[in-house]
Amino acid sequence: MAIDIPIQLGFDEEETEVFNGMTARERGGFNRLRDDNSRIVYVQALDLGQNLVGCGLNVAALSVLIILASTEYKIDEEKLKLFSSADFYRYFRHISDSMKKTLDETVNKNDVVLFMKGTPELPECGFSRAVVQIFQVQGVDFSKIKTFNVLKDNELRQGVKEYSQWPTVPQVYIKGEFVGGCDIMLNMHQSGELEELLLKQGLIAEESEKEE
Amino acid sequence: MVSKELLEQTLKEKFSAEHVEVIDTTPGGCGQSYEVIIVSSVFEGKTILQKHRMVNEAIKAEIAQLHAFSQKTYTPAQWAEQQNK
Repeated sequence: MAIDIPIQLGFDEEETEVFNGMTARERGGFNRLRDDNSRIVYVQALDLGQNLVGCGLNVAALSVLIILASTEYKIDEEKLKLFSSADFYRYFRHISDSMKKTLDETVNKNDVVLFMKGTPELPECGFSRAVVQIFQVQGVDFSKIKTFNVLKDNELRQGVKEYSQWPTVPQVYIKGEFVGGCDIMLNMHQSGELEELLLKQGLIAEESEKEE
Repeated sequence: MVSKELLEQTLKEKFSAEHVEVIDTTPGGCGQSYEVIIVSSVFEGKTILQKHRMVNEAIKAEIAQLHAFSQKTYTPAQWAEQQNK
């Protein structure tokens, strides 16, 4: 059924044959194969403002576009043209509007938010443990830190990566601002920048030694 | 799995890096967990968050396949200083 679609989107005959011969699972893993097999194709489409836009997509992403086009858009060539990159990215958004709203409120309402694996008492990942320890060493009152165990909530686990545009957990927000993950926290801790930031935000008190 | 060599090469190319170290931190070295050090002048004048975002973006597909990923980014000057410590 999707035979003509790859050709429409610029695949040559051989590519079309290879593509059509693949199972959905193979198509999904296509971009993980290296160099020779990982292609970026260029798709032109009309965006929502009816402007012609170009969009580079890798083959695996394209396969989803094709599947979607052949179902939702019923392989209608005209409608396929209207399937814009904006639609495409909307489709790929994992994060729901309600999740985004919840996260917005959470990071803005709390002084410090830590998305981690496990809990401060029982971290389930070395990187998360390191971040908890950094906060302990800095002397931040844990009642000011709102922590979330992403292992208990898969939607949150995926959603927060997209929300922060950051691929890994742990993630730290201070006063609504994304600070970073474990590497950045450790780096800022060592350089003194973290202490400076925590002081500025009133999350720790000046050390008594300094006052003396 | 993501090979160490490939990761090294990709980072070198994308950042015109003068030095790249990729350390496989998986017990047994099975390519699931990496720590990378990248020294490049493109990091000049960038905040640490910007630098890390640049690296995350450049190897997005690779990171998605890894269990753990950790990075250290230096400008050539910072790296020289680091070496002299």
